[in-house]
Amino acid sequence: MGHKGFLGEFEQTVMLSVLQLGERAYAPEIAQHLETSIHRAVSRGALYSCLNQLERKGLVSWRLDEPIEERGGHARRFYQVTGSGVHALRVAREGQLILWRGLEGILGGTT
Amino acid sequence: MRSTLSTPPVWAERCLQAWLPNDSMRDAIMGDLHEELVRDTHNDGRLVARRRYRQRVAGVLAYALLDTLRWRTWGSTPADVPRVQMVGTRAVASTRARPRTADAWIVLAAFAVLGVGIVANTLIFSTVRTPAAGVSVSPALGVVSIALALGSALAAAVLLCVGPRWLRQRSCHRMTQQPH
Repeated sequence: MGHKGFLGEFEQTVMLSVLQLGERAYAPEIAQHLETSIHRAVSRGALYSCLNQLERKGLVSWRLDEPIEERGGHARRFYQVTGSGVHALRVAREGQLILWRGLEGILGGTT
Repeated sequence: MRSTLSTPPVWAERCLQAWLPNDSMRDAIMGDLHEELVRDTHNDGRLVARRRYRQRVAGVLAYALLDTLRWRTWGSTPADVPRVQMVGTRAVASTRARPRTADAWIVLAAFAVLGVGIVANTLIFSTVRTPAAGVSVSPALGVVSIALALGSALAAAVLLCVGPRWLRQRSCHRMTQQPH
């Protein structure tokens, strides 16, 4: 598999957050989830760029909600991970587990 | 009743409208930023909320510009498609892939415009410096030379910034007109 088949670290993080949030996965919620759960501040530009790229690769899809007054009449875009995205995450996790194996003595904790 | 305290600055919304392609992604981004502005105003006050809003808008525009330079277009659907769940299908991907070749032509055209400006400027400059015997050279020629150089640079910049977006909108418009 060439380099295009591998997920970047931020891409994995965003996709995992989308899976965690389920039906509520839209950009501000994704950013807030990352900030509160793993204390990672996320630039909105980086997040939208990442989501755009994931959608171009077919790893996430989205649906539009109704426009609401509180958002200035703009609709929300809710994201979900596609089947291809889930497969890519599984491959990434397997790779990570292989590389983490046997390093407990150095890194501590369990894998 | 809508509070004016949590209304986004007009200049920021205009920047987003000017730079981002006119589709559901831009709509969602503007809505998200507005929603966060309202939430931050409620939680942390107007000044902090507006500062964060400006930072977020700057971040969005910076990444959009960076992606444009890397030929990664923002916005993934035709402007008029209502509430349709889109996935990264081959049909959509091939339509999006088409502007990349045209983008290369735009870059070449921008370099050509710049090149013409540089060559013309050089010719004028060399004429001003070494005038033919008995021929008086008007100082206005120097002004023309500077104007030509700046004009060609500006034209090249406009081509690079606006050209790909215009092509994208044209190809999106064609996609909406095609029968399914």
